[in-house]
This record gives sequence, C-alpha cells and structure tokens, in this order.
Amino acid sequence: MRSAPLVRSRALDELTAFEVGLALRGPGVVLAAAVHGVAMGLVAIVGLGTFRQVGLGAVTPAALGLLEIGLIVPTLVALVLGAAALHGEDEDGVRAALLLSGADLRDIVLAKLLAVVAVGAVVVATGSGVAALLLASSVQAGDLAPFGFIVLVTLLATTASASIGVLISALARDRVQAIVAAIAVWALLAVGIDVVVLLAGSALGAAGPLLVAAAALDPIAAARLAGLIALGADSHVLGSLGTYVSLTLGSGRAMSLLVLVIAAWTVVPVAIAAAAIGRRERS
Amino acid sequence: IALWDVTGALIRGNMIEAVRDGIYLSYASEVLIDGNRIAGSRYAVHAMFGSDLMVFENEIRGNASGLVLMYPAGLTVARNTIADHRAAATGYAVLLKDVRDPRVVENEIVGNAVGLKVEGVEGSASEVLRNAIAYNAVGVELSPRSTLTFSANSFAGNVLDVSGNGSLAGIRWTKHGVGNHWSGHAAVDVDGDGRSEADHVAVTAGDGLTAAVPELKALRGTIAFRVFERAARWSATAAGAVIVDRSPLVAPVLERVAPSRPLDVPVAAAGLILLAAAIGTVVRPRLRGALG
Repeated sequence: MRSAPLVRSRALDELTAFEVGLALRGPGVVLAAAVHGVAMGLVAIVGLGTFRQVGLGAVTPAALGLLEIGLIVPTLVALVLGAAALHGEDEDGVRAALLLSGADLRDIVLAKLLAVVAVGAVVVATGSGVAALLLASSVQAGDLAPFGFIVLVTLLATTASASIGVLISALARDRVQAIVAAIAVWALLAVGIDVVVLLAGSALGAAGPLLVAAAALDPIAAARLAGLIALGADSHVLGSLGTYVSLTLGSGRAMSLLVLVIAAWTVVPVAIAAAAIGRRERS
Repeated sequence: IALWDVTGALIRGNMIEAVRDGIYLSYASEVLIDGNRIAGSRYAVHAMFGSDLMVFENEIRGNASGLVLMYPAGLTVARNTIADHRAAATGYAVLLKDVRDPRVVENEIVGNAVGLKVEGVEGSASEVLRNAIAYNAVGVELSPRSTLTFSANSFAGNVLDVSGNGSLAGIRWTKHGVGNHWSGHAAVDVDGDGRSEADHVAVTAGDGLTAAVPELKALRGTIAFRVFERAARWSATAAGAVIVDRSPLVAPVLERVAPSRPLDVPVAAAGLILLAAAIGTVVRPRLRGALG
C-alpha cells in the first residue's frame, strides 16, 4: 500500500509532465527562442572585438548589452505565458476535469508554473548557447564562471517573472486582461522602475534607498545587479551604494542576497496565486 | 625599488610582483623607468614630488592602480601597456595629481576602472597624444580647472569615454586641427581628409547625473539610463558638454590590436550543451506527440 504523499507526488509528476509537454508544443516557443537567439547573437557579434580584448570578466558596453538583452526576452515571454496559463484552462474546461479527477489545485498551479519555466528555460538556453558559441573564439575558459552566473540569474529572473505572470493570471478576469496586465508589469519591471529611480533620485539628490527598494521590488533589477557584480563591476559602474554593499558584504554574499530576493519573487506570487484560485473555486 | 632624493637613475628590465609599491620615487630627479614588468601590487609606480621623470615601455598589469604620479614637475609617460587595474576603490591606470606639463604619449590603456585620472594638471605643454584608451569603465576622468590637450587618441569600447564636471574650459580636444578617434562617433568625411566634418559632442547628461548622485551609476547600461542620456543629448548645447571635438578622426592612430585566440573548447562546449538542451527539450514532446 502506497503512502498518500507518494501518490500525490506521482500525480504532481504526471500533471507537470503533461503541462510541460503541452507548453513546449505551443506555437510561440520556437519563435521566442529564435528571437532571443538572434538578439543575443547580434549583441555577441557586435561585442566580439571587446570580448577578444578584455574577455567577459570586465564591465564593458558589450558585456552590459549581453546582460541587459539577456534579461529582456525571457522575462517578457515568462510573464505573458504565465498570465495566460490559468485562463486557457477556464476556457477549455481542462482544469475542471483535472479537479474532478482528484487533482490538487495547488498542484495544478505549480504544474502550470513549471510548464512556463520550462519554456523560459528553453528561451534562455537558446540565447545563452548562441552567445557562448559565438564568444568561444574571443573569451577564455576563465570567463565561464561569470557567464554561467549570468545565465543562472537570468533563469532565476525568468522563473520569478513566470511566477508573477501566474499571479496575474489568478487575479485577472479573462485572458486578454491578464496578458495586457502582464505586458504592463513587464514594462514596469524592465524599464519603469529604473525611470522612477532616475527621476526621483535626480530630484532628491540621493538614490540609495530608492535603489535598495528597486532591487527588493524588481526581480529583473536584482538579477541585473547580481550580474554586474559577477562581471566584476567596480565603483565606477556600481556607484557608491553598490560598492559599499559589495565591499561590506563581499561580492559572494551580495550576489547571494540578490538571488534570495529573486527566489522570494518566485515563491510568494505563486503561493498567493494558488490561494486566490482556491478562493475563487470555493466561491 | 625605492629611491629617495636621487638624481640621474635608470630602472630597467625588472620584473616586480605582489609588493606594496613596485617602484617608489620620492624627490627623485632625472629618472628613466624603462622596460619593467610590474603586476599584482598596490601601485606599480608611485612618484611623489621630484622632476624630469620618464616612464617608458613598461608593462603594467593587474595592480590596484598603475602609475600614481603626484606633484612631479616634468613628466613623460610613453609607450607603456597599462591594463587590468580594476580595484573597487582605486583602479586607475594613470593618476596625475598636481603635475605641471605632463606628456602622456602612445600608451595602451586598456581594461581599467579609470584609464586616466587628472587632478590639478596645468601648464601649456600638458598633452595626451596618440594613446589607445579602450575598454575601461571610464576612459578619462577630469577634475575641474585642469589644463590639458588631447589629440590623436583612440577612445574605443569604454563604458564612458570621458567623465568630468565643473569647469572644463582648460581642456582642448584638438591640436593643430587634429582631434581624437571616438568609437561612438558617426563620422562624416566628405572631403576624405581622415577627419570627420561632424563635431563629436558628449554631454554631461548621464555623467552629470551620476556625479551629483553617484548611486545612480548602478543603472548605467539600462534601457532607462540610455533613453535618459539620449534625450539629454538631443536637448544639449555645446556649453553643457564634457567633450567638444571639432575635428574627430575617422580612423584610430594607435589601435590596440586584439590578440588572436584559438577556439576555447570549454566555452564552445557550454554553448553546444545549452543549445542541444534547448532543441532537445522542444523537439522531444513534438516527436512524442507525432508518434502518438
């Protein structure tokens, strides 16, 4: 006789495998991966001269471009797919069927999140793979460590974006509203918060608390800062606050702290989404 | 190597690593520092006061700072390679503080936090000529009220070519009608004389902002920061500019040649693994679906 947790674990595995397979067969996956691959390839080609000179272990316009572009497409894809994740089910009734078959609601939400993360991982791997292949003639094996960390934080930011997307999906009335909200949230996280910090910082003459708030409120900003530290950013790139934090905590701890912020942005939204969906189902 | 109150010294061909100051000069005069390799130290060359110092054809890499030259009179820094100085609090390839009539000529200043830091330089013969200042976080950092002429230098791949605030009226960006090469300049050379007809103007926009609020440097490179800089450039006047080069060069005079590297197998393997994982993840469920 099997224990209940084991049965639930197997049901979750099967549900996740089903959702991941469904998501990966979606029409937009190949397109998103191709777009990201081309974008990263272009940035790598434009920066080849720079990377040949100083590798990836220094902050240069080329390295900043790779970090910035690397975050844009995967986080957008994850937010939009996450926002669409639960509403597709409302329309085709699959969720109702799954619930009738005894599936747990939290498992359905988790399986949906993992499916979106799988798509995001494909997009990140495609872009990073293209960039690494192009850079192989220009950088050295020692540059694999910062490159690997940048891929990791990009993947984490993509996962956090997927989680925020699922939360939007749980709160929105319909699919269109969810997708529009997801695009707006992505614009806010990718650009809007930086604009607010720039404008408010220049008006107030101080930006320290604003930057801390931005890093805490924005997983994309946190990923970018962690990537900058991994690239060996100094006071001329990180600014006085970033340098103080980096020197006080040490680069490793500062990066770990930012990774924890991104992890929190993954766990909390999906938990709220599960609770919100549960409340809606019960009512 | 430390010299105090010495006249007429030659320091040549030494390899110095992991010390406090590779070469320390105090009140030294007529000194030639030539053909040394200095790495992994606090300062590669640290000179205080003295006169007629020449730092020539040295290879200086990976120190907290490279050449830290304070208060000497008569200084030439020529044909050195000064690279990879990225210490968080310093990271200057060349620091000139209160120097009269320095000449910085044909050096490769590459991959540093700051390529050339200028504080209180004066004298009508102060010149920075034909250097490659490339791939630094900041190419040249200027303090107000310095007097210096930049000509025939190549600025390439720096996050910020020139940083400066306050009065930069003493900085000239051409000599005898020859400006500098800027990798970010869209050159227009109608008459084919190798000089762009379009001025190269860089405004204080982003730099002025980060000078006033240094924490905002952390946003440099973001889309928002670039939009902010672009908008400020459109609305800028020459009076608010850090750089006004009336005769920018179309091609660099001293170009740093990238070392040719063989294909790095671990990096290529990492790329192939990532791509194979992505393709396999997408193709497998489609194949499974197609095969029923």
